[in-house]
Amino acid sequence: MSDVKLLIAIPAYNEATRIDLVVRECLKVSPDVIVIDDGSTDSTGQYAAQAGAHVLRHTINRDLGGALQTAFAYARESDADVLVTIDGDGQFSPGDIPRLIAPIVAGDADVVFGSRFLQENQVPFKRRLGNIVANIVTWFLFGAHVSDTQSGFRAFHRAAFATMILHTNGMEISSEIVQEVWNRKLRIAEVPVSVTYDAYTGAKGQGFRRGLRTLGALILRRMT
Amino acid sequence: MIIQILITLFVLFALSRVVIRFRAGEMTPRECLFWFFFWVVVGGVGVYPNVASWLAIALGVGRGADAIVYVALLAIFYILFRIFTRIERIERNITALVREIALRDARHGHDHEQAKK
Repeated sequence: MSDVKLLIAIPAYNEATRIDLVVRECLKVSPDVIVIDDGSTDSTGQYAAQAGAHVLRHTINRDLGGALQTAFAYARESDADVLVTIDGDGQFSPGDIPRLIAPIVAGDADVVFGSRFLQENQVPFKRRLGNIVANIVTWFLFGAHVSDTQSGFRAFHRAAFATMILHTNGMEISSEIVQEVWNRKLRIAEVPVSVTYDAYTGAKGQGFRRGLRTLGALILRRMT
Repeated sequence: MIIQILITLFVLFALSRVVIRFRAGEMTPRECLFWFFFWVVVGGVGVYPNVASWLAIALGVGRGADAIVYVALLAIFYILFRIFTRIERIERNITALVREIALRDARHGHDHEQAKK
């Protein structure tokens, strides 16, 4: 693994209370950690930089999809072999990254999805239900299926992030990634990852209204 | 009839807005032509309702008023779709711009670090 150049990208919007810890944990795995500060109104960017991350600042908030597109663009310009994306709220454990990228390092996969549902995790019912709906919608609209389409914890080999073209700005990027991977016939692996939901991480992510907006955006994307 | 006067006044108002927006450079000649033609047709149907009856007969719909409602609904849905897709395109362009600024700043920061070394 030591000869694999790993870039860890953390999209973050107003994560000042958590970003410091996430960055420090990621730096234990790789020296190349970037935070895409997505127009935060708190000190997310400042704390991330102090913790040792390289910070890319969005002047205005572009949402998760916009932040991930920036991560992909940065990775393409870098000399990284593998790109890992992980949420900035600390719900995923950076300690799982070696396990996540193992199928890529072994040459068995181009893209690895960290799945919250392949091992015993305390995932709130609302999240489980949301993911089931998102999986069905992704399969119905794009004909693609993985067990955890909405996971923010993924790994991409250069063969993937150098060729994938992403357009969507919001949470629908998660389904778009699955679609892109599927359409380009990239080799997929799913790895069980641990996830921690507390009051903070539970409040993040998609609520019902946000979910409906994402659904609308996905249908529009399918039509256009 | 009062309704015909009201429709005519509204169409004249809409046409004046089209001309003002075109003169202000907010519309392309093609868009100006489209909207000018659109409001002229609306005015024509308002002043000569018989046109709607011919349309109804041609489309196999019972009454002229029904034909207008069907056509108007189709037009509204199409315009809505166009607006949605245009907003989506603008959103993507803004994201591309924000991304380019972030990457450019990151490259400059990197250059500064290299210079310090």
